[in-house]
Amino acid sequence: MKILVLVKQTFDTEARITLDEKGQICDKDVNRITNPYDEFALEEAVRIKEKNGAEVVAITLGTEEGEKVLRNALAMGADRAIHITSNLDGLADSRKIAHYLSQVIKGEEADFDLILAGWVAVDNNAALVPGFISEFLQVPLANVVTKLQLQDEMVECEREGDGVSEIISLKLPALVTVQKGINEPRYPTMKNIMAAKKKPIKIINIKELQETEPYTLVKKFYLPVSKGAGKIVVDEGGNSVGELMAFFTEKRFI
Amino acid sequence: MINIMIYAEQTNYKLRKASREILGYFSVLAQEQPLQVTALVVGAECNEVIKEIGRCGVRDILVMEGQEYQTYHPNILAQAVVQGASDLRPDYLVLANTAVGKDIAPRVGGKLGWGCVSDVIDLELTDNLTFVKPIYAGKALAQIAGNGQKPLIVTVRPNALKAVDPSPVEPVVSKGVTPDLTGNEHLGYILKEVVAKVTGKTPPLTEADIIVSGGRGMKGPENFVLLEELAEVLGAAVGASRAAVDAGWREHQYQVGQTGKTVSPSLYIACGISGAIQHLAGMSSARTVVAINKDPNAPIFKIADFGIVGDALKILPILTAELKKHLKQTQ
Repeated sequence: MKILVLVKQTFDTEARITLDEKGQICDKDVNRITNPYDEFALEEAVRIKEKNGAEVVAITLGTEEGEKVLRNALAMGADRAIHITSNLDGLADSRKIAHYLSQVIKGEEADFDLILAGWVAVDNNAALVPGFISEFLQVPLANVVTKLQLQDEMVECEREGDGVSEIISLKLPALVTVQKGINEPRYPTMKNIMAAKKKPIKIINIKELQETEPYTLVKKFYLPVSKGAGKIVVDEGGNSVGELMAFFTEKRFI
Repeated sequence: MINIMIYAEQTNYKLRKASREILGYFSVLAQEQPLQVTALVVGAECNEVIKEIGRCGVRDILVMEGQEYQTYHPNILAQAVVQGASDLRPDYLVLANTAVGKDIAPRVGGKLGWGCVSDVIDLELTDNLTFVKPIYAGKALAQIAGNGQKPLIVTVRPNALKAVDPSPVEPVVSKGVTPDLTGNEHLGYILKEVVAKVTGKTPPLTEADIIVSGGRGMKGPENFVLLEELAEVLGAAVGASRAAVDAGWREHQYQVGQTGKTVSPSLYIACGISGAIQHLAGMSSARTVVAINKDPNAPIFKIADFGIVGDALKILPILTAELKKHLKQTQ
């Protein structure tokens, strides 16, 4: 069995965002991490490997710094990795990203059984790349999955909808995006971090691939206007509730 | 003239609130701007939804009715939307950024060869539409436009568009041709079971108008009942911080923050939540924030419209009782 895991490098969720003098997102001194949702996907792939045996291949697209997420994936238990090197950042057009990832998968990795990915990335919050890939590769997709089990030629998934959960069975090869709660990603051991340094990463320059235009463009970035602090009261024996009730009335919540 | 097609999502034969917001917004915009707005309805039974769309001010409705739309199947729904969009050739296909909207938007984009921008909170009309989208969970915003003339798919975050007062119209319905799926019903995706998780009363977090949320300061899972009681009085949904979810007090689907749900309610009441940056990112677009926390230096107070320095466990029961009393008086 071959499992591909799509991983993305994102800014740390604790990072503060600032703009530089050109109005671009300032990425200096920002700590970068593996998109937390992709770590759930990696963990799930490695668990399947440990249980049933599988080859796990991590794939990322991005700048050279993205090697860090691949080394992390290899340390968590992936066998090898593919890095599509490009200066496209985490906010690039989703359809374009999906086009390049699909192209590489269709090439040498076309014999995959399962593709796993986080359902969303914490930087652009787009949740679009997997949907496009499922169409480009013509494989079934279950999104926002919190439980997953392989059965013969199928994968059974429990997915989260709005106020419902659904049990879905997908025919392999298939794509599954995972949600927090599916597992608890492991911390790589020092031994595995060392071993990961020797595992192979195949580099594919994006220029070697068939080009595509972006469908959307960022015109400008800006920071939200902070509205400033409001009224603060110190409670003594519940006396603040009256003031809060007055505030609710003033704002017409009651 | 810009041609807009809005996918009008339904649950239990009713129009979803998030779709109502979009339909109303565009119908009001179309009174002043050269816009042609059409609603697309897909379902097993659509009469009630059609009436509701008329009340949102949208007259032209394309309906695809069939038993195959009784339960949600992303591929079957996506194919219907593709059919509707191919027939009408809109410049923009707009969906709500709900679980369904998010699930089908890129599938429709993949099938039609269109691009997609998701989770927008505002838009601007000049010659074309441009969109505002929060990035890094709202720590920054990006203005996004299509690249050239290709049609674009847009998903709009619930509760985000400015509220409007549309003028009701009498709907004009045209029946769409539903795609023939014979021999291709499941497309490798078989729905086996649907389990309702939330009772009818509680709105989903992302669509709730009021959210009552608890963090580490709630001290334990047993105290979340205080939040539930307050939520019941206010008709609110209950959320939680990452600390509360990681401690196992609440399920992850109720987590608000950068690694949870991003919410934009009118009122967000944060109880025992200190306000870590990743939490603030998930709720900073709430219109009004009330915070109750023991620590006067908690970062949550920097963004609160009304802050109470005090113990949420003591204050919540008093607040709930006061609200109940108030409701009884005004009834």
